Amino acid sequence: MYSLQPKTTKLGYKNAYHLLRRCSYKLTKSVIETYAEKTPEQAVIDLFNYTEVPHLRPKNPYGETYMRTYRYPEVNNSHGNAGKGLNIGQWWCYNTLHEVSLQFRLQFLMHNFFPTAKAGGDNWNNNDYTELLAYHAKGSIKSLAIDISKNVKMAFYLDNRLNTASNPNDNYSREFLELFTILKGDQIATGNYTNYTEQDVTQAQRVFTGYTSGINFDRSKSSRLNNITKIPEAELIVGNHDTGDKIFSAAFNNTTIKGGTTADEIKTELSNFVDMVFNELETAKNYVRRFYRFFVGRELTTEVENEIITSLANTLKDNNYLIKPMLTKLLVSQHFYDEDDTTVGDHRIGALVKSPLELATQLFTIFEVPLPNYDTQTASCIYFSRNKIIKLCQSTGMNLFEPESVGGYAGYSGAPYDKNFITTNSLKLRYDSLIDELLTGYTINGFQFYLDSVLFVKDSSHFSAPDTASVLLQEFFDLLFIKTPTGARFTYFEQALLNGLSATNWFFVWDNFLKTGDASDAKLYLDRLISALVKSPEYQIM
Amino acid sequence: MNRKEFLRLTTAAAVGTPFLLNGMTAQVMNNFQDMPMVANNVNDRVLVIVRLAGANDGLNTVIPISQYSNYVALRPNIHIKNTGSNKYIELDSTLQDNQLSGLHPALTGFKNLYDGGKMAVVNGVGYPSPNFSHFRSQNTMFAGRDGTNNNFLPSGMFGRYLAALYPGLANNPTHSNSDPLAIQFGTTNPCLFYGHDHEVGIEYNGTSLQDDFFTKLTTSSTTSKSEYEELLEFITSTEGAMDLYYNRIQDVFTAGKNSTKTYPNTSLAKQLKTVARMIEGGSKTKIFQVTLGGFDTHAGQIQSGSSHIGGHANLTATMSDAIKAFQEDIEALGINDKVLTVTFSEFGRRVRENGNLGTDHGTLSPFFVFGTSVEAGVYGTHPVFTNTTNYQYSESERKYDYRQLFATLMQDWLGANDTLIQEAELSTFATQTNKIPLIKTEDNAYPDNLMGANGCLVIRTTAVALTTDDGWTYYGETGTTDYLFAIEQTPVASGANTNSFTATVTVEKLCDVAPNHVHKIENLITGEGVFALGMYWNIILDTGSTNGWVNLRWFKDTLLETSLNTVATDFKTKAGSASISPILDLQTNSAINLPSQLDNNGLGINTSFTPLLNKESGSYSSKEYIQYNQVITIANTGGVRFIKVTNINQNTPFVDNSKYVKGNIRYNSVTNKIEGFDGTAWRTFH
Repeated sequence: MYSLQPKTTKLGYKNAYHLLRRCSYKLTKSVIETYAEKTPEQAVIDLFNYTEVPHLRPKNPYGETYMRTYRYPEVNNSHGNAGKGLNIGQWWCYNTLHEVSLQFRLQFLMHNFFPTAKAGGDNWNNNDYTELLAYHAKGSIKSLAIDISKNVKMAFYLDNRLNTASNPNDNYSREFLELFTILKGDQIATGNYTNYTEQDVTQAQRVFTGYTSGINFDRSKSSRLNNITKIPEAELIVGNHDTGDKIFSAAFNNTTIKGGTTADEIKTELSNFVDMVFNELETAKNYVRRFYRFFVGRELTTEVENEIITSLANTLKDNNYLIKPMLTKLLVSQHFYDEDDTTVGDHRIGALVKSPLELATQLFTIFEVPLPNYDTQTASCIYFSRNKIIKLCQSTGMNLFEPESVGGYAGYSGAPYDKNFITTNSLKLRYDSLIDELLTGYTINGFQFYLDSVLFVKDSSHFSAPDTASVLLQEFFDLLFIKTPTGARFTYFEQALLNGLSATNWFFVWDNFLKTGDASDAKLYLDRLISALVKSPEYQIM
Repeated sequence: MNRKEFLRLTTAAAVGTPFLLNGMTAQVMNNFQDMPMVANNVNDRVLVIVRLAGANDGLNTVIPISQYSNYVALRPNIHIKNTGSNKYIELDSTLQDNQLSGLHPALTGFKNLYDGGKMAVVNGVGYPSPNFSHFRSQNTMFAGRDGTNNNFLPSGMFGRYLAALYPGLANNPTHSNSDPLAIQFGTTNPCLFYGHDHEVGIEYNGTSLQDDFFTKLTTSSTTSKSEYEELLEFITSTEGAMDLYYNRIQDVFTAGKNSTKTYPNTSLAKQLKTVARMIEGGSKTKIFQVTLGGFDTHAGQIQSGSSHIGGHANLTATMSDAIKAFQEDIEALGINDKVLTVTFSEFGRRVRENGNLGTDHGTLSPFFVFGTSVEAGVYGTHPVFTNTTNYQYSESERKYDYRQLFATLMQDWLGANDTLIQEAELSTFATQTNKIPLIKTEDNAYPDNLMGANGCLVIRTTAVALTTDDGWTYYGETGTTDYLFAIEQTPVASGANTNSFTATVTVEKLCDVAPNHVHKIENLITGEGVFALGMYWNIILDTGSTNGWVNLRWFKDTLLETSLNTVATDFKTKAGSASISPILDLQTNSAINLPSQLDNNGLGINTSFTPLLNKESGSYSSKEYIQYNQVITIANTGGVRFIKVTNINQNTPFVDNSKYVKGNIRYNSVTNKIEGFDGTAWRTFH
């Protein structure tokens, strides 16, 4: 029997690491050890404890702010359009490396729920989109669903900006129902997808009419700012709205939503429509299922459905789609730590493949690679983020913030889900793109990114006895893997360090380094070990 | 690669023949696709290298019995006993004193193989400038260097050999050549043996597949796995499919099988079992390397008080039992003809023990070679030490440079011809003198020794001037009237010599015993053969010099000549060869010294020769002679007679003359002559 009963005992190292791997892009051993002493409840409170992002505003390569928003109307840009071509993702990614918190994983999940791609994305619109995700990732999915329907980038992506009473366009409304909220069920008749019908798609389309925008617009105009979020959104042209009542199908209990004729009424109409959709438990269940795949595991067995999903869906719905109560319940549950059945730890733990984003961010942070300062060494941050993290994502099946299809990234949207991140091609890139050059060191705009393996072992305080091969290996396994490898795999990593020589030989190598300060020999051994550890199937798993 | 390129078996026409013509090798041209594949085809042969990583303590592996008391004095705690139930195994009581050996008691497998005639022990292997760093020494040896310069070693001996043998094929499998060139198990670190400065991917590392293979070597039961383990399996198998050779390796492994012979349950044994299975399954990979690590026995080499057990004992037992099981398996599978196994250690260990029941880094150690094609025995005497030898053997105790061993294996076992040996940068070590005769003669792929059998003595007859008659000076052994040679010193004709001089002529026979008195190299497959009269002359001027040409007469040994004709003709019939030459006469421009010149390099590649074209026969004092007219130079020259049987003619593919190398011999059907290529042009021999 699976159980959402909370786990009340202290996490311990392995569970803390499990929780952190699933929740945060940034990880360090010290943080894991701190969390090990917490109960799940304390840990999750801490993970939810954020209000702001580490670096509040994107900057251009000269370290200057260049984007005016409601919250930050001033810029110190003296280099004209220098920021214009930058991908907002570089700033977003860079932030993920600087804070242990749930916020970024949640923002990314929200992005998965309501993906947009490149269309309609100049920097400012991209920034608004990202801000919107960040805003509602602290709150309610339902609020996000309402606001995203008016987001300028989304309006371009799915053509809702063209949707008027006289020229209906149901692209957005279709995806809204099919992919973003209640999702398609079984097709039980022509045009009937159990959860909604074609009639509902059309009615939804009518609800969405009238919101439009150009790519460029006057962002300072208060009429373009959302009252609550203060983020610019599409403009409502009342005359373009389809003002009639919208009658929905039996899937929605034949609900009639009154058509608005004024701006306020139209906004209420939108709100009512979204309420109607979100009142269906199926909507909540579909979000919960996607939360589950994102945080827990890929298999939604009948047991999981009956005992976990439904209960969490009710919690989500009952809390008006506030994320925190539902997610907290999941992350503190015995189920999450696989303590709710007879065998502990054979499910959930180590059951997901790291997306390229986790692979990269967790790598740079677990090895505590010194990073440049976003304010004073901005160019290095931007190009590092772009060329190392985003590039890896792009080439291995997750083009960050630009999913190939409206369905989202393959690793999240279709079976076998996270396994989609691993192909012969992507695996090779995951192996080759990150660690080897980091062990050698490279410079970007004057800042050297370098994992000094010897200093890391000597000074990080994570290695209690570096001269003892067996202890060193174990501590590396603890640092990087789900489980300590055994048998041939253990030997493989052991030999990556020792290279056929004895542990005594390693003892002398380390000892010699400590005595003489010449790290070249020790570096050879440690680099070889770290490279093997990272370029392994074991390291691809979280 | 196709069969054509494979067939580099040299008939060594002039290789090692007394006519030593610029290192002439009759290269087989590429028109032998239809040749029947003989089971013992050299081209299918495999070399298995067992790497004893960490440096094996050779002195406790093979104990020099005749130095036992010094051995004990230097290894008071760790010496192997010579009495009692845990004493060394006496290898072979018939060996001479300085080769008598005691094997580590764990080496029962080795003893068994030796008694079965399948093991060779090569003593005292090392190299000129030993290095005591594992990495440096390994890399020096992998690269085929002497240790004086350890900088920039981009390529290895076998890398260079394989790249020259299969140019462009590394990491580039084709439909007909889908096997990796070399496969390494037992460590994921690439081995410089297979490094190359521009061909990448000569070595395929199969270590990541070991888990999978080892499980499949025996039947395994399916157990339920955790989600993590399943996911790990999924990613691991994706990893496996990432490389070009993966499918082929899997196919070969699946198609192969082992015999019912049991292997021990050690990684080394399983690696070898995998190798046997892959060879049986049709792998054409030429070199397999397996690894046993842990030999760096600075401490715990033995268990205190019991020198027969401990770290080194475990390793030697593992090594011995695994190799023995492997040999049994390949014999049961019927693939033993193709396989030779050799051990490798980056150095030996110190003669004197250290203070931790172990040994520190050393220099010389014995290497072992196994297989049914091995001429079993002990090669080289044990390096000598006295009871004051503190650390290392002295430099002069080295018996073999490791490159001699590997050049032998590359050439005599794998059949690498001179060009490939040159590419491997082992030419110096692949000479007759330097190669180690540990391959059985009948299996030797590169028989460059014209001697048919051991034990023949050189019969050197020094002929002095005995008499003069009609302008001819007759030479023979003092006190006889048996003329061997004659020189017309001052012929009356334009251009002839007018100086007076005295000379000594030596006539040498390498063997007087039929059938070895006809020196031959035969290749039944290619139909190429070289047959030399087993008798040669040399002229030395004692006083004076010549200023023009002279005439020479060489008295025949009719029995030898008849033999020569018969043997050559018989071969031609048997092999179905296209052409047979008349007896060809050549003069070399420096003295012939037997037997050392009966090797690849002959007199060296810069030596020129002169075909003696102006000939006639005659007899004097009831003895037949062959006369050479107008011989311009005679001081320090020698002479040979030979018959060439060949399938190669001027139309044999290789139409571009530039592909010939100095030393090629062919039959020219247009001119009806046998000719040799001197590097620039074809020159007729008769």
